[in-house]
Amino acid sequence: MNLRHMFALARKEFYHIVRDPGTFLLVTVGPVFLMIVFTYMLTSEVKNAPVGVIDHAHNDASAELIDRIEADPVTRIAAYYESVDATDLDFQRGDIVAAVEIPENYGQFSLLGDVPTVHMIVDGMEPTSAEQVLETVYTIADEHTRDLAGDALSGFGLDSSLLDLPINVETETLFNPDLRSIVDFYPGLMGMMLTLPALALALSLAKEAENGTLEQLVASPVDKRALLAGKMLPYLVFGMIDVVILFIMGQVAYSVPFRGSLLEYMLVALLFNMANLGLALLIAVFVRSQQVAIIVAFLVFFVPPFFLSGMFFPADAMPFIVQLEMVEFPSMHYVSLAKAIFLQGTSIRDLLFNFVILAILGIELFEIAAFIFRKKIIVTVPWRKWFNRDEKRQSLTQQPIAQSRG
Amino acid sequence: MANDTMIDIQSVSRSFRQTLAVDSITLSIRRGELFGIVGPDGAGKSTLLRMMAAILNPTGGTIAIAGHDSVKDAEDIKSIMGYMPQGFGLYTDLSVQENLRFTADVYGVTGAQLEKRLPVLYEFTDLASFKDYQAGKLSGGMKKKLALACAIIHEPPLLLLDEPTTGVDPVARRGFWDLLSGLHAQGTTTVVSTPYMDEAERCNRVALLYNGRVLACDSPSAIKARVPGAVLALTSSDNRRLAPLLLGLSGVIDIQTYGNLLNIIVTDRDTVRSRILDLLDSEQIDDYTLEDAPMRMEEAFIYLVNHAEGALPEEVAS
Ligand SMILES: Nc1ncnc2c1ncn2[C@@H]1O[C@H](COP(=O)(O)OP(=O)(O)O)[C@@H](O)[C@H]1O
Ligand SMILES: [Mg+2]
Repeated sequence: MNLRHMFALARKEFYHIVRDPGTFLLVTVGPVFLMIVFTYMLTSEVKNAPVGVIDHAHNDASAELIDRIEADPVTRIAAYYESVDATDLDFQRGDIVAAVEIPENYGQFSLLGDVPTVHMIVDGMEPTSAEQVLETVYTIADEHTRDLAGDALSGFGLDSSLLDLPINVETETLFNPDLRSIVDFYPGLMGMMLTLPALALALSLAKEAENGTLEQLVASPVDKRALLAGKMLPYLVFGMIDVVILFIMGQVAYSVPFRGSLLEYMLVALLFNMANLGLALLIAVFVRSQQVAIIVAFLVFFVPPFFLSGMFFPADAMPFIVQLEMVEFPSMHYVSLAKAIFLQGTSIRDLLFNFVILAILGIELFEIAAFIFRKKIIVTVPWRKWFNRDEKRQSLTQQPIAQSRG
Repeated sequence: MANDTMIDIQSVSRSFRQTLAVDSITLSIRRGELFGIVGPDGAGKSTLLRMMAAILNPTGGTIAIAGHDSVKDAEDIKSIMGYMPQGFGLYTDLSVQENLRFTADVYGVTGAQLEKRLPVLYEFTDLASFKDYQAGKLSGGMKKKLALACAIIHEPPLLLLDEPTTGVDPVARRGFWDLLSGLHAQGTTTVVSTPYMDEAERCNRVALLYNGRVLACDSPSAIKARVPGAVLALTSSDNRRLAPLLLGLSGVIDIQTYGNLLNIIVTDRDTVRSRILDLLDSEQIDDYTLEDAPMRMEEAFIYLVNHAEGALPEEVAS
């Protein structure tokens, strides 16, 4: 690779980035802003979450409990059911986010016997609301039980505060078994934010094709690998700056624990950035118009990682073929590695498979893009710009053919 | 291939789906020539130049530049040529100087060599006082000069310029051609495409391109000599009505309309002139002028377009 060419391209690209406010914001503030939006969406306060009730007790105590759930600002009673099975459809439709099953013996106390067990079912697809609803119902039921117990005990002349009588709330989570929250998502989300610099790179190359500057470049003796590497380099630098900013933001603003090795995480982030940028080059080599680049980049960068990287759905719940496909997406390996390093303090050595694939993608995607790239003009581009017809019309009187005999 | 041939084009074609943009063209351009490719919009000029620049492969035929095949040895060609695409191929957000230095890096012009070259280019193009201007803020003419400076930064023996004067005001166009003449004098082989016929006059040889084919390839004077007869310029108040009548006169080969001026190409100046005077008389038009006009590339080109198929009018053929 011709390093002089690479640094010439990199310097030029750096000028483009810092001189175009749109691009500059996209690669600097963009990831931070998007992260704030995402985390806000995941933490936003829950109000009036619809809750279903399966009341087996049908007594004063259960009626009181239901009243308290209804009265709480977080929850409201949306429907009553005969059995847990009957709730399925409404869960699927999203009509309720949680169901409370009140046992027959609710409100009955025998000092020796079982504590009544309130059974809760929550929708893990909405981890934030599920968690809040769960907590709310637990608190309501706990308080109510204490009140009931207090009434019962004072009948015996005893002080209820002497007793530690927690209610049992058993939970069952549909769809997202671990009820993962911000802290769990943060390392993975960081990866998604890093696709913004990659998007900017794809756009930049498409812009050169549209403006005709790529035609000038491919007619020069520039080394094509240096050309692509040089264009990529500044975005890699900005991508790593984003990693540092997001990392600090995670520690300071979201108290995301970091249990692993910082060096290892930075290495993973670097490889992931490279893989993303390689993917962006690959996109740009095929499509050379900005609009198409945006659409394809969206499909490649945002949709698959979202669904496939195991961030929202557990990977093992997916069909084998889909899992196989996922192997090709850098984000899947990044998420696995990042979460393990952040949250469990795992070392790369224990996730060698993911690490090796990410490293291969980081290098190979660039090489594939460089291999496919031809120093030719592409003929399937919209050529409005290339022919500049408007310019030509300016001097019509000098256009002989316009006056040809009629 | 003779040693003094710079560009050897052998029955080259290029099609884009249904469009045949260049239709089996054979041309040979000698070292040191200032060669014009002249033709209207859509004639295939850019396509031909892109193939010469080795950034577009022909769909048929071969091109050799200084002995290098344009498909197999594309990269060899790229280092010995300077290319100016149609439109502005440089970076509008970079300053004049930044564009020049970037191009220099790409072409391997560095260090002392570059520091010696830059002042020469600034002087040559008159851009010294605009060094720190953003290229996008330059006037059309200055943009072209900057592009030219970038194209010749490595002193290439071959220069390919695609419509370098399109969209440039007439004064700047003249200035630009003076620069080209200067380069030509230094021995640079220069190929220029243009839709402007008057510019063809400044070339050693021109190829007239129309619908992807070469109508004629010769020196401007030889091309003009191919058009038989003379040109008469007629102005009158009723050209619109006169034109078809004039075309009906025997001895009138062609008519070109420029506003209220008619350029009439005739086989024999004297006899046809009197026929035209008769016609004007019988049509009762008296506020006219009828003068001799020079044969220009403009007239020659349109004549050649209209008679491309070799279908010359009888008077001429006989
Ligand atoms: N990249 C392309 N894809 C499809 N058609 C093209 C392309 N380039 C040129 N053409 C077509 O080929 C013809 C010649 O175009 P061009 O070489 O640009 O002519 P000129 O430069 O003389 O105006 C036109 O009909 C144009 O539409
Ligand atoms: Mg053109």
